[in-house]
Amino acid sequence: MRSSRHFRRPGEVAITVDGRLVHGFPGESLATLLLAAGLDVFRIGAEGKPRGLYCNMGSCSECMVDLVLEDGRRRPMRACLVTIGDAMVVERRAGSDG
Amino acid sequence: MAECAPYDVLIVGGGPAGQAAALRLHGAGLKIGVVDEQPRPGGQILRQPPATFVAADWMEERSYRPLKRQLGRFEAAPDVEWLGGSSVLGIEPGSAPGVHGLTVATPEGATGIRTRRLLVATGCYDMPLPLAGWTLPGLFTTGGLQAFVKSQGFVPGQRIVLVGTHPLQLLVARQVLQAGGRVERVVFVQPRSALLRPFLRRAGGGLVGGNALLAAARAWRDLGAAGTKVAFGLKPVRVAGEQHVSGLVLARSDGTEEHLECDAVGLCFGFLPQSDLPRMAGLAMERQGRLRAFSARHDEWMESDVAGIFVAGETTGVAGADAACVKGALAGLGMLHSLGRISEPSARKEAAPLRRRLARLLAFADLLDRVADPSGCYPEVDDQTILCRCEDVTYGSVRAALGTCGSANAVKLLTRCGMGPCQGRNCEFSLLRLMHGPSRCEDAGFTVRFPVRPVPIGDLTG
Repeated sequence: MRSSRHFRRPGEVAITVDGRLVHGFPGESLATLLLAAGLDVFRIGAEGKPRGLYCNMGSCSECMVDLVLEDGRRRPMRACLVTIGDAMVVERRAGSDG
Repeated sequence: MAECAPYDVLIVGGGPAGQAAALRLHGAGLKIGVVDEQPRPGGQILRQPPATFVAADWMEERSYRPLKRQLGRFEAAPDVEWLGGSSVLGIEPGSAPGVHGLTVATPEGATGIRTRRLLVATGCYDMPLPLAGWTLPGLFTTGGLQAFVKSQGFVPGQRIVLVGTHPLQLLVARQVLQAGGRVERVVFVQPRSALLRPFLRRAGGGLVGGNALLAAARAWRDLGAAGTKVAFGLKPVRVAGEQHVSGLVLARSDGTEEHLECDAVGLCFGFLPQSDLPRMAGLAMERQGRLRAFSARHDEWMESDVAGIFVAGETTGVAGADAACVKGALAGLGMLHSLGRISEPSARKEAAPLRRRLARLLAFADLLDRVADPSGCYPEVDDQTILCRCEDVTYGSVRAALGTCGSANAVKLLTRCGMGPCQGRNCEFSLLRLMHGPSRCEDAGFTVRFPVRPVPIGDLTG
């Protein structure tokens, strides 16, 4: 749940996550955008179970996603440390069902 | 990789300690840089909202006020270069005479940085707590959950349960309520008396550092008024859920279980210093506090045993933000002295009141450490529970390996425990606890490898 008790946010932007448009607010972390959209599975563990973000401060690397650059190269990033930008393209390692 | 002219002082970490050091150094004509992974300064304790948000009444709790004033002064210092959004990947001590080298991943790519004096003030992180189901989405460290609330205005759950041994969870619960969220319950594993008795015994003595204590007491009162229950003496057994957290199972002291429905859980059992950079640089380390956590050793000026590399804040032992500010100021003074910008008598005169204040703050930190001590509060973990999250290594595999392995490094080679991108930050503490018990974890831990933070390989070679 995004709270507006203490913050006023700028106008929305949209980024692409696993081929779908997801709305967020400029300046937000990619982790916030994903969790707020209910996209909280970052990968499937070896035991076949979904894995979530854990520390939200860059230590645990559980929120790793791929940023897809304009030239098609993929850049693995910790979602908790990425500030979203307009037209950003992101792919989770959980596939699009998570 | 491009390189720029050497800094006089490079500070790793823009939290309370790094800010205090920079503020003591600025104005002396030095080239000063501060590197931090976050885009804005503040550290985890004052993790700031994005500059694009308009914040009102942000972090209003009284205990944060001195830290906010220091942050304001830091941001206004014109001669302190802010290198945000950048991760230090490694340190090479003495890469040239009198100069230390660092490899830093910046938003523009990796670069080498050289500096005459280096301060490592990288803070701490929530002690990872393995528990059945702790890998499910919706299970967070309480510090991580709090960071969503205070820096993003985002409450990551409709019904939140916080469980642990550390009084910080009272403050976090209230911050969730203030943001309009709902906390089902705050659970302390220790009995109520274990939380209160040490404080009551000392309360007559006029506690320095009692700010944090008063803040917790005010939060507790507010939680009661809001109808959020604070419970004691319940141990977490497992996190329930298939695709997402759906509940937390707790054990009562009589062995019966209670199932709490919730969609988010925060775990708060204490904090560990970020120790990988000092360990990689080969600084002498020691074990501190009841967690026996890796902390960097230092002299009276916060200089490590490697000349020119200084340490401050939680890097030297978790003692809270107020103590971190004082340690940072001492490190700033120490670097000023070591660069020949202040005479020894002047530095000593200035340091004396800081040291007296630090001694009182450390006494309070020790009290808090005792109150929050998780010994005896750890969940029982079965062989299926994951110990190393990155490489999906279970307790069963590690227990089997311990039959033949005598060191953390040997377990790592055999099981891949600690081989993932977190560099062991998620698993090393639990592995050492399993190897040696809570009081005698004297193994040297994993050998820290470059890069200490994950980086796209192309950034290093391109």
